[in-house]
Amino acid sequence: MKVEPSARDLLEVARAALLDDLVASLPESSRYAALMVANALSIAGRDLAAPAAAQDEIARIKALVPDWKPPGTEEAALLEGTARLAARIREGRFDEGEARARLLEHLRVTTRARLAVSSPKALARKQGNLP
Amino acid sequence: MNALASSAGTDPRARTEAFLATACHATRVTIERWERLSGGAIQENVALDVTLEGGPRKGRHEWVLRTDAASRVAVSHSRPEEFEILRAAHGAGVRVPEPLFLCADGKGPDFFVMRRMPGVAAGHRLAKDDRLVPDRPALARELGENLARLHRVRPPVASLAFLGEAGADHARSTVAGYRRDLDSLSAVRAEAWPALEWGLAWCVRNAPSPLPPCLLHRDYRSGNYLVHEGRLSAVLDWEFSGWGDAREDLGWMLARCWRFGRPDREAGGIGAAADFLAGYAAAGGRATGWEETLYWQAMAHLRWAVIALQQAERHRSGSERSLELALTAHIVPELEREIIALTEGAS
Repeated sequence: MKVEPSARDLLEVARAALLDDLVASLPESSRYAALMVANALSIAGRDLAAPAAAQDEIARIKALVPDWKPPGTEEAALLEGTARLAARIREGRFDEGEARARLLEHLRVTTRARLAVSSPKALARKQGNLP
Repeated sequence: MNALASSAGTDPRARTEAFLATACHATRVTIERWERLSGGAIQENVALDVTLEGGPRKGRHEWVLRTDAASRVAVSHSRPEEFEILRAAHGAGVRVPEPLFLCADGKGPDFFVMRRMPGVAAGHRLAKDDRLVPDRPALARELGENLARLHRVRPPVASLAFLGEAGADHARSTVAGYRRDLDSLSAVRAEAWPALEWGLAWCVRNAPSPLPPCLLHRDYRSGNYLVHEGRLSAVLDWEFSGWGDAREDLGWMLARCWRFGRPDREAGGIGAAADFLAGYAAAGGRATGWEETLYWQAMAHLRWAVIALQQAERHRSGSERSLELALTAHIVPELEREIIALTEGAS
């Protein structure tokens, strides 16, 4: 058995120590760098905690690119599938109709998962751009 | 090592004094202050307080010296080119630091000297602190008016020949460029970006009829201009400017990614889009409505996403390990989300 506290907890407590104890005593010129470190620790913690979603994403890509045969390992399948999908989008295969709607749904789900790690605040924000 | 020193080891301050003596026909030049300003990773700016004896400019001057930092980015202009762009913008009545002297003597890195302008550039401060911007509609208008003056510069301009021919269809050629950029990134890291590809395909399908090309700043946003006593003091950072469709600059300023925590103020987190666009039209810019800018806002997010990926790659590849560059990659999902929001409604 691994030693507890584990990576996730250590990242969390390291971030708290940085923000609660250290930042106040830093000169103004180092503040920005410290906040970047805190942000990096947050992202790393969320990355570790993110639910394993690769299988779902591979299945969604397979549905959009039916003639694609995913290779054995998960990592290779995700890379290859994403590249295939990107190429098909560029070819214009998802420009209209039902294909377009299914692609957009896939992009929404995928982007939400990426945002949940990179920038959950943005995920919580109201979407839309109109003034 | 100071970037201004030549390989022969000439003292950069002495080189600058000698250059200014000739350029200003002065009998004696004394640089009293030589202070590196926080600047970009690409350029280095040095604040100069200079006293000249003799010659038409005798007296004390507050200037900025601009030169290349150690790491240059291939797409940005050289200092002599940037000097010519500043001259063209200044001649068109755009608020810029007046370009004064260019040194390209081969005895060290090229540099130029421009007038030092007062003000605050930090986008997050301008967006959040009303004391810095007491009259937001006025500043948003000024930003629009100023951009309209820049867009009056049309090709061909002899001194700007290095910018090359203006493309006939800026939107489509820009998309082609971003696709090449993504292909280069994919080649080295085996990644791909379906949301960005979707946005680019959408931009091809929905490309508007091109406008006659004009001079663009191509980074006209909060953070790249100085505000002094609530007024626009000077537009900085001209290293990406080139010929193109005027609406690209409008979309860049209005895009949500440059609102610095104030998404309700569409014009750079500073003020309302309506004021910015009204100022633009009032100073002779083409009348452009909010709806028309949405296409170019989508383009703006695509452009920033491509640049962010390139910056992150500089870190990932090991060529320039940096926390800031590494974190830039994590901006991309937000940009993807905005691209989807801007394109999912329209065809």
